[in-house]
Amino acid sequence: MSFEEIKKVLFDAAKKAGLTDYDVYYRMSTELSADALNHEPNASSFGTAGGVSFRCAVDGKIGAASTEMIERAELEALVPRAMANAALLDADEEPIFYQPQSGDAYRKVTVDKPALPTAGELRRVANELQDHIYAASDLVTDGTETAAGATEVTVCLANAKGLSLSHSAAMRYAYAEAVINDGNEPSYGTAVTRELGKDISEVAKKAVSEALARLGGAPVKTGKYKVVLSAKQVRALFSAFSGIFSGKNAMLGLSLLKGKENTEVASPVLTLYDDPFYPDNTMQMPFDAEGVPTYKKALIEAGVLKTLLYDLTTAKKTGNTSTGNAGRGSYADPVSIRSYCHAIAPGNATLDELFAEMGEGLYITELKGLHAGCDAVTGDFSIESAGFAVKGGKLAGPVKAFTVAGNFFELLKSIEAVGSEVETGICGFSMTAAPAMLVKDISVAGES
Amino acid sequence: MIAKELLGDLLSIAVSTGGDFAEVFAEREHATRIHFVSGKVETIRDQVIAGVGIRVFCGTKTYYASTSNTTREGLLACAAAVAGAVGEAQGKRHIDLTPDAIAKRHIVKRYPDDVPTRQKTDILREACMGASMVDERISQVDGTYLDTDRAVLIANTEGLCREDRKVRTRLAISAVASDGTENQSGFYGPGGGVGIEFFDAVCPKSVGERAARQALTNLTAGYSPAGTMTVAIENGFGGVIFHEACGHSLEATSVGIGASQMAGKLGQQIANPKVTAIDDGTIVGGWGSYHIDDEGTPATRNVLIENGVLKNYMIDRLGSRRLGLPMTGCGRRENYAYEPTSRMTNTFIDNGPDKNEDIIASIEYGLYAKEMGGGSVNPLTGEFNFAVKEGYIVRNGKICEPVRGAALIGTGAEILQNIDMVGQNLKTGQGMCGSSSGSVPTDVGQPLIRVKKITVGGRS
Repeated sequence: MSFEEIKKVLFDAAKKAGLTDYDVYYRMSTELSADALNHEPNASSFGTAGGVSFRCAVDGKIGAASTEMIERAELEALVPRAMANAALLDADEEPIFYQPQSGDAYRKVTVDKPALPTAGELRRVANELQDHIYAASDLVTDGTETAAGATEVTVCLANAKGLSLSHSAAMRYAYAEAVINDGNEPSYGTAVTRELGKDISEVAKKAVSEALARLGGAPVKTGKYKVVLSAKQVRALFSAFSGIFSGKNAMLGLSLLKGKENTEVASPVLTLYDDPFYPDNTMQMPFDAEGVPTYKKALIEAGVLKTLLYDLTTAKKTGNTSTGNAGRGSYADPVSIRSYCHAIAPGNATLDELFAEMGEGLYITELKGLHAGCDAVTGDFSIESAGFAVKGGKLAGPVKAFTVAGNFFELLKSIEAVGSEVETGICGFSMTAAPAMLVKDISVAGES
Repeated sequence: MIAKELLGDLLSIAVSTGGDFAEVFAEREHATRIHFVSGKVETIRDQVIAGVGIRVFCGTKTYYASTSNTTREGLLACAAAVAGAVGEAQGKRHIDLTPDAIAKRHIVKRYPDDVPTRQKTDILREACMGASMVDERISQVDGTYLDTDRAVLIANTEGLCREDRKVRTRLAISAVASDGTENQSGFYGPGGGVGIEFFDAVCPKSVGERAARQALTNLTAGYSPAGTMTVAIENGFGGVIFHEACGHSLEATSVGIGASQMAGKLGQQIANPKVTAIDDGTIVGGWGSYHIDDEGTPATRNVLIENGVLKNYMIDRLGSRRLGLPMTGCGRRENYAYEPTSRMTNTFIDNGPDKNEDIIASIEYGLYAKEMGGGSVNPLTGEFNFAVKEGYIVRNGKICEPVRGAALIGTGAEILQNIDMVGQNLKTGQGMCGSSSGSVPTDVGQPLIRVKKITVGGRS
């Protein structure tokens, strides 16, 4: 059944039930991947999954219901289910469905949609990566896994006010995890790329050199340290705390950025954007989950908080306008506030210059278990880490088995310098792009 | 869900291109999730999940295709897709399916769909109001009620054809306490592999109160100290230490490909002799329990470590091929979009020889970790972490002032030897575990234990 057919079934059923305000949200994903392990192809998969959510206003409240069974009877059943759910809510605001404006400008995405590779192409990439990894070092051993894959997502949204939108985006990736063993201990390194066509031997080399560099990690003494966070770990940390920019969390008292607009919340070296059209991202998004056009905005500009993120309901309640950040985690999730690409503006310092500026300290290349170790309500974090010692402004040996602890809101203010090389990882509707950062005074727990 | 004849056809197509084994997994799930915040029932997420996954083995190579299109045409296309990935057509064989029923031990008294949703919103409201009423410093309560009713059907080319219905119910309450300048949070989320009768035994109000008290305790707590020290870890969700430090490293997912620190160690003394650890998917009504796993294998009580000696791994169908060891009924997946792999069910350290009061009394200076949060591990190195959500300093054998949460980190091999006292108040706690086959409900558990030496990620 096409989206137009789904829409017709649901709109007809809604009208028959006497409803006047409703919307239909559809999302379908196709994912394919190939894995290789220990020199050989290992697994191959192909899947399509998705569903439809119907929302309607009943007596001033929005009820919803969703299904993956795209058949007439199942779709029609969504209407009474959503109506019954609406009756049980306590919401106090008038429900809002987006009224399309004559001047609405949905920006065109700036990237071509990558074609989905064939299963054979993915198998070839995963296997070549295996070969390159084993060729890169004699220490490479069993457990070395490589993968290549692609995802295509189609989102459609229509409402009773005449809105009708559709967008399809895709991304490709290849991933390598090199496992090595020097006879004393195992070590691992990972690398990822989104260019399947390019010379992937570089990805294999990166994973192997990371694994080699990690061998023989020494313990660290407990104390306060200056640290340089690698670009990858800046991304991980900002991603773990992305909820603090939600206007709804602020409204509910769950973000300490509440009421801090136009005040200094970070070091002047930090500028952070929310960008649905981040140039490198093949999964750009021209409209949000309510149908509002999306656009690039500064969240933090030279340390000053410029805005939080809003959907229609939160904007109305707080006297703001929607920033086009209504999102749904899956087709079935209620509308909440989500970011697109959180992009930190690069500074001027190369990584070596950041080390030189730090002098003595730690270069943090791993933060693990952030889902458990970060509390976005308080900003507190305590996280298992690994990386390298930096001595006399130069990278020294690997270190491991320690934690870094602090408070994210304090960390924002203690950023001393921002690196010049931005890393992005793989694409997605939600992602982060960031350079490395020099931060002062982080508590490290290791050896007593 | 799918007629036996069509199942046979799908298997026959899937295995027609050189595969030596094929399996069809079908599911239909109704999931309800109610969200309460700022004193109001805010949203009801009411979702039907339905789809099919078809898997083919060629030795230890796997091919998988899945679809949410469960029409006859959709299923036939899915089977053809997976067969096409395996190779060229080599002729079909007929598959005889012999449906059998598994004796039921998890009896659901009140199925979620038989209970009006209003009763569920009332349960959630009672829990959240319970949290709000504890103290005027409770500034926000965010609660979720959830239930799922998941019917699964598994058939394979060995003739297996089994169905199961897995019902789970949970309440998860987060409370925030504020003194005007600072926020602190608390959480409690009990659940069970049962229907709405779960709340006959668990009082919703007390769930909210427990989350609120934890937030209030943290509001008066100073920072946790940093460094290595002796830590006593309380029962219930404290069992997350075993889940991360050892459990994941015993899954065939990593053991079977040689990417686990525990590979090749069966029969070896890997833990202190006081440690006996079990993965038990048969516990009646357990959060991580089921009759059959998502590959159709009955759940088992699997003794992993006995008196410190490694006895077994957790082994799914593919892991069984890789390791040459019997399956243990632990092949799980979040839903049809994922290929199953070996996962934990209800995993716990069993009661030991030590008296709980002796454990606290034995600590001159250290940490008493009363409530724990989640964590993670790299099975290859065994390096793990998990979060303490409510902790207290222990001084001269007495539990003293509260300190704020911190990560505890270590390596599995080392920590298992360092668990040198094991108490007698075994209890489990409920969590969601994420891995390559998605997010699945798992129980963790233990009695009060003492870890002689572990790194506490506080502030210096």
